Amino acid sequence: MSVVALQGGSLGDSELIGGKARGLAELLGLGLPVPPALVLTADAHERFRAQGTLAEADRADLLAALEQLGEPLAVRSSATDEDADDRSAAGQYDSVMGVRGPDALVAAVEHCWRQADGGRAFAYREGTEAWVALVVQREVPADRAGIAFSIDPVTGGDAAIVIEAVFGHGEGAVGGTVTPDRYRVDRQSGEVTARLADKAASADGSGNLMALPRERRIARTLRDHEAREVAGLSEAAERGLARPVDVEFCFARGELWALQCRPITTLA
Amino acid sequence: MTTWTHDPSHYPEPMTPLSADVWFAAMGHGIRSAARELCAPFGGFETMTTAGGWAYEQDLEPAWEPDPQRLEQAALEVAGRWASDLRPACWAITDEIRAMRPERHPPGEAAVLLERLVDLVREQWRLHFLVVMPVHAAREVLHDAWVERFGKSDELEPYRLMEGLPNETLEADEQLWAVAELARELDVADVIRELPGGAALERLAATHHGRQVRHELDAYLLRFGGRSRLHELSEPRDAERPQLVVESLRLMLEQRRDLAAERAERERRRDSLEREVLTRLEEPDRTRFAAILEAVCAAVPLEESHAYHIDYPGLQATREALLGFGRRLVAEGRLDTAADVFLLRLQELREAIADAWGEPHQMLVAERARELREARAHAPAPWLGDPPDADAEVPPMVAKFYGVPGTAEWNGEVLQGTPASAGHAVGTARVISGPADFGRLQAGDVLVCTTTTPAWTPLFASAGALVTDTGGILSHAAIVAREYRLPAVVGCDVATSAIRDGARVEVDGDTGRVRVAIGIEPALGSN
Repeated sequence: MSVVALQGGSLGDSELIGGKARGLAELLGLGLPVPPALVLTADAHERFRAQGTLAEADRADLLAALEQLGEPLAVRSSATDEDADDRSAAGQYDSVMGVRGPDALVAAVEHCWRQADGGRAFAYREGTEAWVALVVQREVPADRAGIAFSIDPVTGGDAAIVIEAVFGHGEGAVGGTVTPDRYRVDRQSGEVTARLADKAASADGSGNLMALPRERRIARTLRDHEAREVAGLSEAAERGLARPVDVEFCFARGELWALQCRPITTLA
Repeated sequence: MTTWTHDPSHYPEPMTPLSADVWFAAMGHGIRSAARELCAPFGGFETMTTAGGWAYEQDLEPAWEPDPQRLEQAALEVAGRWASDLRPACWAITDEIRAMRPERHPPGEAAVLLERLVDLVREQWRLHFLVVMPVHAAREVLHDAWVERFGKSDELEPYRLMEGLPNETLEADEQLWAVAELARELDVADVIRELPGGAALERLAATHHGRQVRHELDAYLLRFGGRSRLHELSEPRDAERPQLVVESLRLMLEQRRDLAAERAERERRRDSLEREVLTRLEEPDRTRFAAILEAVCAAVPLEESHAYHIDYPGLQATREALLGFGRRLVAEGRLDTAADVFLLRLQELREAIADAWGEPHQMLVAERARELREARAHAPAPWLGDPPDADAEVPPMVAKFYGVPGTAEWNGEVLQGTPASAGHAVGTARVISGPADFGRLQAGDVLVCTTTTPAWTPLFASAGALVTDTGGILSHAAIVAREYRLPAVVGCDVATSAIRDGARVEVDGDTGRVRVAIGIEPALGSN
């Protein structure tokens, strides 16, 4: 079976599903809200490489599972090499956002594998051969997004959760093109202190940036209770994984979603 | 019979939907509640606005047995109640509104906050009329007591004893005047006189002495900066556009006067009139009349002063809170500008707040802005529904306040209105439509306008005379003109259209005659 629905708890062999998928499975296992997703396992990649096209059986499995997820979808690479965690290798593999319909889905899957085989990700991995699993996930229409750090990524201090947030999808914050608002939520008191940034643009689901109206640039991305909600989410992830983490999150119409969880690796 | 009438003196422009639903509705509610509580001889009115925002009122018959004694008693007690509980209650409401931070709460709490705001505004306007109705009644209590004893030779005579009393509008003038004096002393008056308002403020900030003047100006704005041209909530308050106040400063700098001495002179006149009146009475009636006079003179200044504790700070706080709800919708990307919130109906705002990150409202707001522009371009119908009863008698109180429309006469040369403040003046007419226009008035000009509100009072200190379209002898324009001893004719119906800007006019405040077109002088800075 090359298509596995992402569920909480153990998904077995991380060689087959890759680091990103495992991270999501862990979040789900902790009972955190993750948009529904399935994994196209690494052995399907192997067959793709042999045939130059998505194998017929894998295609059928994929499209059957698709009905459970709805649209639009995001297809992201999930590398299987074991040190992916330590590299926090976000963005090293291509993702395709805003995928609608079976044909586009198959095209997105093949695109991601071709990139992994020949593109910049390959160079990054110094030519070692690797199989890449793919996460196919329901893309939630984010109105705010960002990253929560369970310890201060600069100082390592753990008195407060540090949250960076932007309007729209998270590409702006992740890609560093938009200066995000910064919130600190005190672990003891829950007190929220905010530092609002002049956020020039917001990203849509495909990562396109759109300029914001003047007054919205300095509007608050998160209300106090939302910052506390995000802090609670990253504390739960930290507890569950027993190490400091950063969590990519987004809000869609007031509902909080966890999109990715990584151990914090930037500390000296 | 359902007749909705439009009152151009109070609502000269269309209202935004949110201002209509929050403030105008609260005002209607306030007047009805207060009238009921005071067993007033009128029932107040229902309020309504058209799609374009023109305001209409429908007079109500009282649903209770009017009790003149009750209102009279309230009139004699209002000054005491104001100090002991009405004013503190109004400030408690304003403080609660000021503490609101609508953009920080979750949707459910924000929705509750909005309802609380609406309730607080309603309560504040109920208190407003519990002050204002007895205060108006107080004038009539003294009027009647006077007429009963002395009769009257002219309409204004019974009111003279109520002139020359200090009030906070005059205090505002004096504080602004002190800023002008400071600018003179520190030798920066030229900056204010030479530059347009905004540029003058910037230049003042660039020098040490200039900053001292700005510091005093800020102190003035903290206390009086809640004033605005109209109560309309979308209208920025003076504190938000201090450049307009700089225009008033400039007018003050064009004249040399001693406001404190003028005030002392007014008070001296009033005191001597009071002594003279009291000697004409025999005991025990003298003591009785003196007691009425004392209570009424304590009440009358509240006619102006209440607004500095209710209307201005209360509506300024309400405006700021509503802008907070606007910022909330800006953060959600559903409005581009916080001020666009005023173009939503209250019910739409309620739904938008509860339904976080829901539908955008930019299209709706653009449509509303277009409706307002269109409404503004056409005069509103004077009434809607059943035609008003032409033969119905205007109650004397209403006539004194609003005037009686259609009673002025205009023959192409002489305009006959209601004499409102004695004296004679000749000057250049300046037809002023609003504060943006204040800068055109030169000292000594004849101020011609639809009506005035307290935001206009700084002009009274420099104008040579006043002519208005609307209002009676107890209108704001008339009362303030008498305080300033400024010849005034009110209720001229057509003054702003009949008198050309720049025309030489002769104003006779004793007879109510305005002679127009003794030759035309080109208007400075107008075409």
